[in-house]
Amino acid sequence: MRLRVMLACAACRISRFVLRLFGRGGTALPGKIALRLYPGLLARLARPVDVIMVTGTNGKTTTAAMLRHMLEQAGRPCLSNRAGANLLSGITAEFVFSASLTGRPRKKLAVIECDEGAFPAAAQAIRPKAVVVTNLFRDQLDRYGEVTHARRSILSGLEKAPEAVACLNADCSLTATLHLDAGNPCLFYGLDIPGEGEAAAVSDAPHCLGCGARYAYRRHTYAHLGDWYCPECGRERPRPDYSVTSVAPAPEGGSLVTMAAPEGNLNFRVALPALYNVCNAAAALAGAGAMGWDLPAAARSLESFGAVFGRMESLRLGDTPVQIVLVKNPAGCDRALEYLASVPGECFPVFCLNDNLADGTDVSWIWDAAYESLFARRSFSQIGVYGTRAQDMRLRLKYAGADDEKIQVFDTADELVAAVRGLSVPVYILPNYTSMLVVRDKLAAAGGGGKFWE
Amino acid sequence: MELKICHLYPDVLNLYGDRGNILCLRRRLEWRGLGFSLTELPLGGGDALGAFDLVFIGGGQDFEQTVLLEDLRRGRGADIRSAVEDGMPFLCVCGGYQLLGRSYRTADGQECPYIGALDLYTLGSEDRLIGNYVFQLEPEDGGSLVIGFENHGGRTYLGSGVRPLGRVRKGYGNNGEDGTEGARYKNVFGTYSHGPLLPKNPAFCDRLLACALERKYGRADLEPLEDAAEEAARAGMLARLGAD
Ligand SMILES: [Zn+2]
Repeated sequence: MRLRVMLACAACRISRFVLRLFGRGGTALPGKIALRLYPGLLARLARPVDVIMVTGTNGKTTTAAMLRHMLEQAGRPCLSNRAGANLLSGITAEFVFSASLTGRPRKKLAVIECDEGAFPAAAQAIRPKAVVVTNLFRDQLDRYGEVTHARRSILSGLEKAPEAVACLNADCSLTATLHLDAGNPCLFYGLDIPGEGEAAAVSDAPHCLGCGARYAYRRHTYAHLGDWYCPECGRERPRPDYSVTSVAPAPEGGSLVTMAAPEGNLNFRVALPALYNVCNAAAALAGAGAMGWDLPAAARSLESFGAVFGRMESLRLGDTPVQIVLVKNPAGCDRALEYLASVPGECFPVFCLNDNLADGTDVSWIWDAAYESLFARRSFSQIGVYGTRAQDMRLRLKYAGADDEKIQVFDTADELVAAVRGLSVPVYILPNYTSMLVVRDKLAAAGGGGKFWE
Repeated sequence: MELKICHLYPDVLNLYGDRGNILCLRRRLEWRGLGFSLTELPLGGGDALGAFDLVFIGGGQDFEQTVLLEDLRRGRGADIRSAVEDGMPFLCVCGGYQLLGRSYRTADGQECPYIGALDLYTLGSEDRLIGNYVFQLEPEDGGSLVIGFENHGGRTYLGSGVRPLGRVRKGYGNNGEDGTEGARYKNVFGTYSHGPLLPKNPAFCDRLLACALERKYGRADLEPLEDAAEEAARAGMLARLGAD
């Protein structure tokens, strides 16, 4: 058994070494090879490690990065999967790389971001101490079917790790009601602030999962999130244990947040802009609470937390400031568009859309995102589109109210980077997943910066 | 001139960018200076369909179909049947298209009666037919190529009472076997194409608008529009699928 562990780990390391030799990072192959050689490898490597897992549709990368940052600030080493390696193979590889050659873990703590589809198998193997579920939105429909399938998948993972404390988003009815179906101990987090938010045109969760009646809302945060209840059977939003009671813009950027927690009231600043990052912070703090970490210290560390890879990232190409905001579904896209609409002064927005397998080959979600509200609020003297479905994006923008003559189609990322170079206005790039990888790579090659798997 | 468009069941049948179809109908009216109004009729919504000029029904999730069937039995089913017979233009996509048929049999053999406005039935299957696809409209609908995205487990078979909407050039269509896609009956256009269907198929959108305008005003002179962006998006996908 010991020999198999060592062999599988060695094969994983060697294959990664060889792949990197050929300049290919971030592939799933090393983990796949290791699992093929020893299917029980992940369970074996994770057994002595205290793990917190993060899953859900939106915000899991940022929430996991916040948890990792809390540990880093506290001087506690942890292992963690980065760069979107959140399927079983990527997670396994991460455990291999942080273990000794004989398969003994060198770190006692782990923060693991996990794809909803991979969650049942990963949770069963890892047996995490806590699981943070951020929310459930429609995403990449042709990969997992429908949003209710993603929910079923998360439920099945929770059932396979019954001792894990589930930290659930009270504001998301699809997520919060998991406590009725799963036997796990549960904690809730949510926003209890007076909301000026409004319902999305299309709700991802209009009907009560218990009785089928239409949910009513005492308050909306955004999309289907808010203070929901079922007028028929009485199901309602659980009272959050970790409740954000006020949010105000911070003079130095980001938000000033007050949170009521079982550990006492917390006042802290979330350095990242936008309300959805306050949601991510609440999710991370609930997770920290479930793990028994020092909560006031964890909250303070959010002041020094910058953006993570791709989700919202600032860089410079020469003198031109470039911001990249990853968008991959309508709810996330609406947040990014709101942000773009609030940017003062002239800027150059670039919308990138690929339809590779990792993006979902069905790109119709762009028609559910509220591009109309962007063009209702401001105009641009020039707009860029790029990606395998650049022309579909152009069409979407035309129907949203953009002037088609101002839309420039970039056939290659090199053309895009060349157009960005030397611009005197800030550039905002809104790519989906694989188009982000390409654009980011080209920008890094043109202006320096590390490759994404490092 | 104005068209009153009804989006039926937007609360349950709203998958895969259906909003794009409504938006396309709206813009292509507005760009020609024609009026547009939209009424969303959710579950339990009271208005009869006869008050509108065009009805759109989209696709949906499994769980929500049960809620829906009850609502149809409470009268909406009969309302749809009489509107169809009365020549009301309908665009029905995916789940909404199946729903107008006679029945749906699930993969494990459960028979589920639908509203029977169209002579067709659907058999469920575990493996889904997914991907970009192209079909050609029948000559009486203009004969243009329609580019869409299909994602359906159900296989639909047409009875003698309806005609196919088009013939599959690339992809699966109704069932992946007989080369038919969608169904035509009176002014009903049923199709598996969501994603959304209309923006990339302006000729098809205009065909629908013309249908509704003719029925309401007895004539439909639709000015041609600048469709450069539409043509570019079409050309790219047709070339990729080898259907150009
Ligand atoms: Zn209920």
